[in-house]
Amino acid sequence: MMAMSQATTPTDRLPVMLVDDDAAIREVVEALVQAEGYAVVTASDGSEALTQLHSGLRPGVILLDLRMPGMDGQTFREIQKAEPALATIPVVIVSGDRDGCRVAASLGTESLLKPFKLDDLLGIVRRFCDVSPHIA
Amino acid sequence: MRSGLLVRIGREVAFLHDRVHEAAYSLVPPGARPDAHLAIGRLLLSRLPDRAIDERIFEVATQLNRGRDRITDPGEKALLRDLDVRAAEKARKTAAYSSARVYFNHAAALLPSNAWTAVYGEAFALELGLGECDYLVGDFATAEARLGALRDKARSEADRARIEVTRAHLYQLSGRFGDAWSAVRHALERFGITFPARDDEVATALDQEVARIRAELASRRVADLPELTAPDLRLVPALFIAGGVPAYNAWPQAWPLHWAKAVRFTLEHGRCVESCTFFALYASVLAARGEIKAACDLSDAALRLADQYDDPWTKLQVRSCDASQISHWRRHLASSIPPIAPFFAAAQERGDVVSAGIIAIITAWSWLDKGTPLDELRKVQDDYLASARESHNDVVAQTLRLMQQYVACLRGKTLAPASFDDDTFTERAFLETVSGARFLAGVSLHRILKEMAAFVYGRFDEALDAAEQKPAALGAAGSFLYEATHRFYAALTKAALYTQASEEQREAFARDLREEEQRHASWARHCPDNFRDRHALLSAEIARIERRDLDAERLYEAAIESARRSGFVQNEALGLERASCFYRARGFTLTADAYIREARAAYLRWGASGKVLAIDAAHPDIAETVAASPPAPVSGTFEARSEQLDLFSVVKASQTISSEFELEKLVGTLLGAVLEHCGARRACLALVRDGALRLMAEGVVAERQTTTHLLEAVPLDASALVPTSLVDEVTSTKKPVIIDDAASPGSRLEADPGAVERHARSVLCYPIVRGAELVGVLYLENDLASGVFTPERLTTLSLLASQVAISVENALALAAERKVRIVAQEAEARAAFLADAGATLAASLDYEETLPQVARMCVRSLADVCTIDVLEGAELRRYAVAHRDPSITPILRELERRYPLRSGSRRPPFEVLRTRAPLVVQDPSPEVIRRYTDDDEHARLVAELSLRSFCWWPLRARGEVLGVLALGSRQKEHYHEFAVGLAGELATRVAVAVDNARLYREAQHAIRLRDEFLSTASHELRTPLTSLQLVIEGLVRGARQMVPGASPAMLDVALRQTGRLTTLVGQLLDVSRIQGGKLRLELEDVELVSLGEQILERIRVQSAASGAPIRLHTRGPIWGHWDRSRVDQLLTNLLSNALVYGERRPVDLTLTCSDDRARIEVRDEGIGIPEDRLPHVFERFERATSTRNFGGLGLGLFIAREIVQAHGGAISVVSKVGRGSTFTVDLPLRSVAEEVAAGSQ
Repeated sequence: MMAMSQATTPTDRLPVMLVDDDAAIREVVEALVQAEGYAVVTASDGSEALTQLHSGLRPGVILLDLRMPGMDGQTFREIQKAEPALATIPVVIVSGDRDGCRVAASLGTESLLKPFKLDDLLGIVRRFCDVSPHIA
Repeated sequence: MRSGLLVRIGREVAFLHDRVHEAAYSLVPPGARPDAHLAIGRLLLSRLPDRAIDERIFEVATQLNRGRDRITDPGEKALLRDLDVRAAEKARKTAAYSSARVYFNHAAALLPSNAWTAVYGEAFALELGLGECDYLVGDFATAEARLGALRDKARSEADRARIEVTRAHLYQLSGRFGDAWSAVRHALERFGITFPARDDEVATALDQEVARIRAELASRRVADLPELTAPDLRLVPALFIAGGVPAYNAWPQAWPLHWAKAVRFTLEHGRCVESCTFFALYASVLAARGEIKAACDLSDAALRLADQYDDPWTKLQVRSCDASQISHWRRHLASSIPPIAPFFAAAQERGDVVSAGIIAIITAWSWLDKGTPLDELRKVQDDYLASARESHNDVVAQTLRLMQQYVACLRGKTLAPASFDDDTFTERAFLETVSGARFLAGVSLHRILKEMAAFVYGRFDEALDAAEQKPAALGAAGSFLYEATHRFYAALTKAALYTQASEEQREAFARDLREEEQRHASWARHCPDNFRDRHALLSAEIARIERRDLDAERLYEAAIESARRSGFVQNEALGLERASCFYRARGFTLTADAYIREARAAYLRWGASGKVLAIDAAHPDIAETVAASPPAPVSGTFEARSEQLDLFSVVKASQTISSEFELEKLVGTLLGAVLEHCGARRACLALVRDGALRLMAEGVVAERQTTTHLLEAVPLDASALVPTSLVDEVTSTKKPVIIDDAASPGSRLEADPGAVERHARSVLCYPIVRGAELVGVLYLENDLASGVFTPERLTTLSLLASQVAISVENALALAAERKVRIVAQEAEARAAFLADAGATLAASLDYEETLPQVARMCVRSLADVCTIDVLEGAELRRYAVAHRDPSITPILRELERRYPLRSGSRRPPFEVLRTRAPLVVQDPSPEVIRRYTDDDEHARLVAELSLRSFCWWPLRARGEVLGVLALGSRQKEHYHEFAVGLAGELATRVAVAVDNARLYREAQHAIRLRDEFLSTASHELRTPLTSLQLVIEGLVRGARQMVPGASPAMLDVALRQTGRLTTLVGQLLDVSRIQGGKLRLELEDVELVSLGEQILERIRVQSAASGAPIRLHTRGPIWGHWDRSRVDQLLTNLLSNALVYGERRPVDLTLTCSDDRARIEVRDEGIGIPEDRLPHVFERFERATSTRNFGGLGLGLFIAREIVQAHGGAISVVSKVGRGSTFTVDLPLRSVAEEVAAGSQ
């Protein structure tokens, strides 16, 4: 949707998964991260995200909101950890809750607190989704 | 089991009979028994849960012990050792010392050979425990040998101190106070706490300590002292405690210093639980020094401090200190006895025979000084004596015996007046025992009792002798009551001897008397109830000596009056007797006789029959009217009797009369005597009560039987039993009226219907006069003969009447005093009960825990069954059931199971809820029970509880009824004024506790809601900020890199987010406006349908996103006078909610209109609201669903409700989980305020 002048080819990079019930956030994050040259998959709650993962999607990172109608972030994370095929996918909790950090720690993940800076978001995306040269 | 020798009880199997058990046991070969026991023991140990092992510890340990020799494994040995110790501790706790010793011995036998190095702590504790048990079972020699050996093995100062504490107990118990004291003293020295060597240095040392403590306490509060933490000093307080009683008895001068040192130790090193006792006892030292105010304050501080420690024993000890040494300096004696009683019981229970003994003596003394009638006192002494003997506490038992001999002496049962010797007791043997044991308190008490008895019998020289020989223990701990009593008697003795004393003696006496008068004046100031009478009597005696006759007269009266008011009958008697002496010495013989007669009556009431005999012997003129041995009874009917005045029978009658102190009995006895001795066939007694004559009783002779019955104080005028004209005459003239034949023509009673009906012939109306005052009238009739009431009979009657007058007055005074005493006792019991209940209720906010405790307290004193039900919603929930008789447990269970509390029933709790007033049902008939129960079976079960009185109290707090307290008693008429009042006060306290707990819960809930709200709010505000921030960053980045950073779509997003933020901020502002009461409406004409359409249009985007269409149902325009923007907000809120929670199913908006109201209905088919949340959905910060799922601040419905209410409308919701919700709003077309305005125009 946007020009990707300096971006490397998408094949070098793992996709980003964003699970958030807020449509505006999904829309904006998708646009900005795609603009950096990453594929973005979105889901509005945990069960939608699981459906996509079960169909074979393996993102480099899952950005996970906590409060969502339907399946919330915490439940999603517990299921994901329990499934060996999915357990290794890194998860970053993205939450506006005051105790987001604490919940993230209890779930064994990093966290990014809303409202966050675009650079922080992109830093996380790069860290998890860029396939490092020596592995490639 | 098949042969029936074993039976199954529940899940257990048991032998059919003990015999079967024995037979089975004898079948096991003796050699195999240890193994069998061991196997059983191991089985028990492995199968029983831990708690059950504790319960059955004796059984488990016994089984294993019997197979002990077969145990080889050291681990198992250690385990059994531990079990034995546990069994021993448990036995010791229940005062079963010989069992405890057995188990300790088992444990000791199981110690490894190198125990003193390998398991020193355990070995030490075992030996100490054994030593203690040795002495508690009376094996003193073994105990001493064991402890002596243990001292050499002790490794630390603390352990050595521990031994000394035990040794002190041991010596003390075998009466060796001197040894006990020196054990403690030497142990204290090791901690640098020393006592002077000589008696004369003690006083100076004490003065110094007192001054230092005063200075320290001036700047510090007891409550602020730090805790004693130094571990090596932790045993010092126990040493002080152990040394208290020995010091008092062995070296009384050092006793105050002992406690002063203990207090200084606390001030220096910090406080501990024992400090409470130190302060309490030091308070008594201060009291003995005359610093009564400071003593009371410090005792209070000790009581408060004790409350900070969770140690019931210390609390009791401090309370008992206060009761035995402080209380009588500020409160009536009667009130110091109840607080000691539980201390005695607790001391007995925990095996502290030393404290129990001391308390027994002190309490017995309080009973004595309280003026308890001597026969009753004797019973009290018996009780304490029995338990002192049971615990082998010989010196205490002997001392209690001494006190009994004092009683016997006053009753004239000993060999000589003022001697305590008789067949069972000699003073010499007593003194040998107590002096041998250095139990100086016993020696002191002997002197004091001797002094008192001698004084009562007028043997003043002997009294003085005893007083002057006072042993050293007196004065050392001068705050005991008996010390004060000693001072009183010593002073009285000197006053009595003054006139016959030598010049030199007089001077000394006068000085002593002045000093004592001042001391008593101070005591009387601090506690008039206990000391005013004594002070007045001393003052009277001084006035007599100084020949201030008028003062003396007044002071004697004051002394008598005060003693009477305080119930000190012995002091009243003393006062009366001293007054009699005073008048006699001044030549007023009649007055003196009157006083001695009164004194005699008081001594008689006290029960001092020996003294009464002595008075009779000394005053034969008085004895003639009141004393002498009763002769054989004479025949009782008129016909059989001679006309002769039978003085003896009169004396007998008057004696009987004066022995009755209860008015009812007195009246009956009196009428019986009158009928028997005066030739009457019918007698009535009227007494002046409340200023008017009232008929108290009637007696009739019929068929040679005399019957009397009481009348309920009927006013004389209203009764035909007595001719009023006669009574009026007698009342005004105070002279008897005799009519020889009322039936003869022209008699004064010819026209009296009552007299005519009864065929009265001889009639006598006799005034009963006391002083110049008429106290009653005796009316006698004879229907058989005329002229019966001769002047001789009149003499008889006059003797009886004078006795009656005195007795009636005494009985009335006694009744009044009893009434006062009962009221005081009731008030005290009430205060104590309520205080306990209050403390229980305050101990926890969890009333599920406290209410059962309160119910249990109720069944100890107030009821046989108690239940407490608390309202939850519309239903009563039973929080507590308690009952006294275990046999009714099944009935109560059955009742609970079959007849649970259901609202709307006619059962009493619901009636109380309805009426909000207490309900008392006394002795209900089966019909009444049936009326309050559900059916016949229910009534039958209730009747089976055999309760006879019931009382239900609403639990009311802040005007709300929160539940019901129910009490049931097996006593008839139990819930009279006192019990019902007490129940009411209890109900109030329970209600307040429940209310407080609820308020606390509500407050907690509100705090939780607020926290959740803050969390939600921050989440809700951050979410739009996040997208906004990202969009702007995208724009900035695009601008820098000269590339488009954001699409128009994203700018749209950004705009929407600012809209969201605006709405959120608006909601928050609305809430704060509502809370500030500033939600103002700007009313205008608004058309609801078109407004609805506009809103639908506006949220179509949202509606489309959620996939749910909104359908509008309406029949045309609806005009109303409303705040347009607020109604808009209301509709928007309701519709947004419907969309959010509507599960993407269609939402219906229906707008209709009646005459004066518009109705808005928003219906969805979504997730619905759980029933228990429904009442709360309109509250602030509440939301129906759990917080995590849906967005929003949870303020929408709250704001909606506020808007509706501001318009004078109503909002409601109907919902079912999984089926959807319907919100209905009714809005008046014009607001109420407007209507009022329109109406007034």
